[in-house]
Amino acid sequence: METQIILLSQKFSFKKLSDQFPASGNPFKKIFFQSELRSIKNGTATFAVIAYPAWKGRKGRWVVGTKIDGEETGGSSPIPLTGPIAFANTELLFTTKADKKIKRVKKIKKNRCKENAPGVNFRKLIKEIFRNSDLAKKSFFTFTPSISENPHIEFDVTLDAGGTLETARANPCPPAKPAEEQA
Amino acid sequence: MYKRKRNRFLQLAILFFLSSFIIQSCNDGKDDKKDETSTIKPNSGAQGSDSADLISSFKEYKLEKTTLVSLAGSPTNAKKIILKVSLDDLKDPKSMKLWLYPAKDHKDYGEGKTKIEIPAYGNVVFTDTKDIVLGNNELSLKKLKVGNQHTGAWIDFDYLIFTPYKDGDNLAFKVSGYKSNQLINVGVLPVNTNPCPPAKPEDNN
Repeated sequence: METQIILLSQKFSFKKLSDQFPASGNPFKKIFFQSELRSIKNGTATFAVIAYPAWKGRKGRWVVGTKIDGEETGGSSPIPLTGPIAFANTELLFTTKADKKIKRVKKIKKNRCKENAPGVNFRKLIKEIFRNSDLAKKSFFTFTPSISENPHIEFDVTLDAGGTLETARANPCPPAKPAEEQA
Repeated sequence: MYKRKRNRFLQLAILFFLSSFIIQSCNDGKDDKKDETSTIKPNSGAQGSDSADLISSFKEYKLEKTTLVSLAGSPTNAKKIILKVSLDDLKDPKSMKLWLYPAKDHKDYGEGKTKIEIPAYGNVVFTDTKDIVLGNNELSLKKLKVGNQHTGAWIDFDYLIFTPYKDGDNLAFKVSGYKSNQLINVGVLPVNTNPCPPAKPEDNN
């Protein structure tokens, strides 16, 4: 019998993911995601997503917050295990000190900026939400897991900020670079 | 009279047959239910067993010193190793492998770095996999050196054994050194890997 895995699609509220971040003084903010084995039954392993917020000052050290569980959205389908799949951290960059620089570069050369800074629109929306507490209350992230070419578990992350949508990909790291290096 | 007795006997035989059938069906239902719920066996003590129906267990891994030294030097001097597990076949605990990546620090690893893959080795060491988190683990290489963390010599061992265990919710590994197949207690060995997060990155850069 073929074995398979189910990667549960999950939702995190913006407030839940960002509540642990200090109010100021830490330009680097990112979220680590990991896979949690929920069950193995009849040749099927089911995994959920859990998150850890992390932050750092310009010269400081990374600080890691406490574990956050997601909420199931119900959308997931079994994936047959036809080869090895690795389970690693995936990272999603929230904010970086480079964001101000990106804005300035964008005014000069729009396209180059997009090439050099993946997820910049995603982070701009995050910045907007941080400034607007009402918007923060109704914003949430939806995680749709898949298997990358390397092959690891990766996530397409959709940020819904009161109807405005932006999508980013949380890359498995390694082999991908840490999120802040991609900014 | 004889006919009545024969009918009575036939009735009893049919009743007995039906009762046996019903009891058998009930037992079958119980067995099915038991199978469904017993796939995860918390600490059932399946030491050394390869016959787990599904992966509800983790095995040990062996890393030769030569492999470690070549991994640490590729492509630049690595300061730590990132460990993660890969799954291939849920029915075969041996198909779980350990993938190792060299890393200089938290800012410098990733693209272009070559991983090595080490197969499962030795015994099944634990079976409590319920809600276990599979993320990165880190092993600082300076912990495996004597004296200076950059220029110091490696601790004198032939190979390392990575023994998985559950650290809180996370999978982590106890790393033991062996010389001439004898467990050694030199320097920091045995040492535990750092499941990160929840732990901070080893170098914290």
